[in-house]
Amino acid sequence: MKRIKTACIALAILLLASIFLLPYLWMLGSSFKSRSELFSYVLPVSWKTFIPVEPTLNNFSTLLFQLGFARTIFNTLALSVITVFGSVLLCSMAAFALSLLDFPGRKLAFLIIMFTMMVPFEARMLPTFLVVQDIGLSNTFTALYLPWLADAFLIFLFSNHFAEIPFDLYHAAVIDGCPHTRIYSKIMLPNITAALVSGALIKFFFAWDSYVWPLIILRTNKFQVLGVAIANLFTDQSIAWELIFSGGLLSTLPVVIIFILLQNYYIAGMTSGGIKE
Amino acid sequence: MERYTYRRGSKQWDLLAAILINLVPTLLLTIVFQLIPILMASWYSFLKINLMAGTKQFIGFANYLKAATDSRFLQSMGTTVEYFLLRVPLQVVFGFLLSLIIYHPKRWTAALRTIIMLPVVTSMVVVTSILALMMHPSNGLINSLLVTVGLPAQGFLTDPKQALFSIVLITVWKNVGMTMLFFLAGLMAISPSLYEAAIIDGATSLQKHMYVTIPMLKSTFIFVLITTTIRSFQVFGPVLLTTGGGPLNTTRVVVMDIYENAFIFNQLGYASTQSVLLAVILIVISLLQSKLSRRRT
Repeated sequence: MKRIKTACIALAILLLASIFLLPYLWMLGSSFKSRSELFSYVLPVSWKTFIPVEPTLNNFSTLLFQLGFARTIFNTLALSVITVFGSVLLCSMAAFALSLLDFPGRKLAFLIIMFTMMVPFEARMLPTFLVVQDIGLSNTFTALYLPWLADAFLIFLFSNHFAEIPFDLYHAAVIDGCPHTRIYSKIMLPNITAALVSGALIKFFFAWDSYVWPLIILRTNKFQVLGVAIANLFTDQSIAWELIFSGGLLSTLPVVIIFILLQNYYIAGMTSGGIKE
Repeated sequence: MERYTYRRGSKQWDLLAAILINLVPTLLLTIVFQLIPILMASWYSFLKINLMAGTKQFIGFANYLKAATDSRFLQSMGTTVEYFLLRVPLQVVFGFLLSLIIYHPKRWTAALRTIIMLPVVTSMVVVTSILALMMHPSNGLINSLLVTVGLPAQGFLTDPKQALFSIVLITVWKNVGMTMLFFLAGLMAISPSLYEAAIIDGATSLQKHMYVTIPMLKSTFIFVLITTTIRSFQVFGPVLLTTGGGPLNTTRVVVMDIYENAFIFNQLGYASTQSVLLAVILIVISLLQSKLSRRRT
């Protein structure tokens, strides 16, 4: 009786896991198939639907060498790295000033950041586009990351962690003669490294996922990113399934590896980023 | 909260420098790329903008009156509300149930949690493309599975009756892991002694959840409900990518309508008005959240 119950639970868990894993397995297997093989085993569903009989790397070479994906991946990587370092640096600096220092206008600065957090990108897509165009940044690589460096979520995440550091640490450093300008880098930053990793991961997944913004702000292929490139494969009239699978795999692999290695930091960051004044 | 205070006119130059160096770059970026666009949209919402002639004309509330009677816009609002009504219960209930499964540590819980979280971090474009291919009417995996077990094939994104719900399924599949995480964090915060007391009082496992878990998670439920609501009103990427608003306009959500007016029909003034209306809705929901969460503490 007990064994039957265990088996039932195991089966239920397996079924649940397969709801989330099936698309990944389908993508993984299909990305090594030629187009003709891909459509040969659609029905009935068998192991051949998932596992390539004659695996080929042609899809990847087509993407990388004919469709410019090598460049696209480089662009996306550059965009992600710049966004991660820029935003973690700037937002932790701002969080330091807002949470540990007081000055005339602090409340106003806080209000501006909180107000802008309430209006998500989708509601200011058009005016942001117009502003970026007006300052002459449209069609530049800078336009891809500059509007995304200041991030209220990250500021609140880092503020919460700065607030947990004993204030005596700051006080002692000042008494020892450390100028206020060096407290951030010498005293505070080393104490919130876990939060910095959390923020970096959140920003990395976000930047790697760029799609709507590059789509509306870029008019050339020079700075093309993965999100737009894969979307173009998908919306293309001659919809090339095998390339979508391979492109999807190229985009997913780094993200999944990074997530599996560092998931605890990501989860801690996502669930602790609430606003505390 | 203790802070080092800089007072106007004081001679603590290093403190003033620390404030300026650390805060100004972020504040400047926030103002230029977030605050100014919001203010600009508010101003543009009162203008009629002709891109060809390069003219801007003040027309008062005409754009707002137009929005109130524009059947296309009102229909897109209705579609968004419908999307919200379909998605929020599904994502919240499913996310809650998943958190209950994951909560009790077993050998497989860590792996299952990782698997459920994978779609959260996978790119939206990849998730949407792959799931849309799975839902493809003739070559998709889901129809193959349905036909294999003897069920009729479905139209999914191509069927006006199923398209919106198909998009709901894609977004719930991608985001339910996040909802699960929030509930997990809430569950961790419940003191085990409450469950022990319930067991001593003879509660069944269902009663334990009804009388301990759900009441103790009230604030988590409020938080999850409101953030999922906000996300529902923002939905755009998956629609743009799969249906573009079709078939028969059944998936034209508000942001899709704004996008078309702004970037296809070049109605910058009117699209600004719509953006302002959407922003107001989202701000009201956000304020509601901070009010509700303040009440509990």
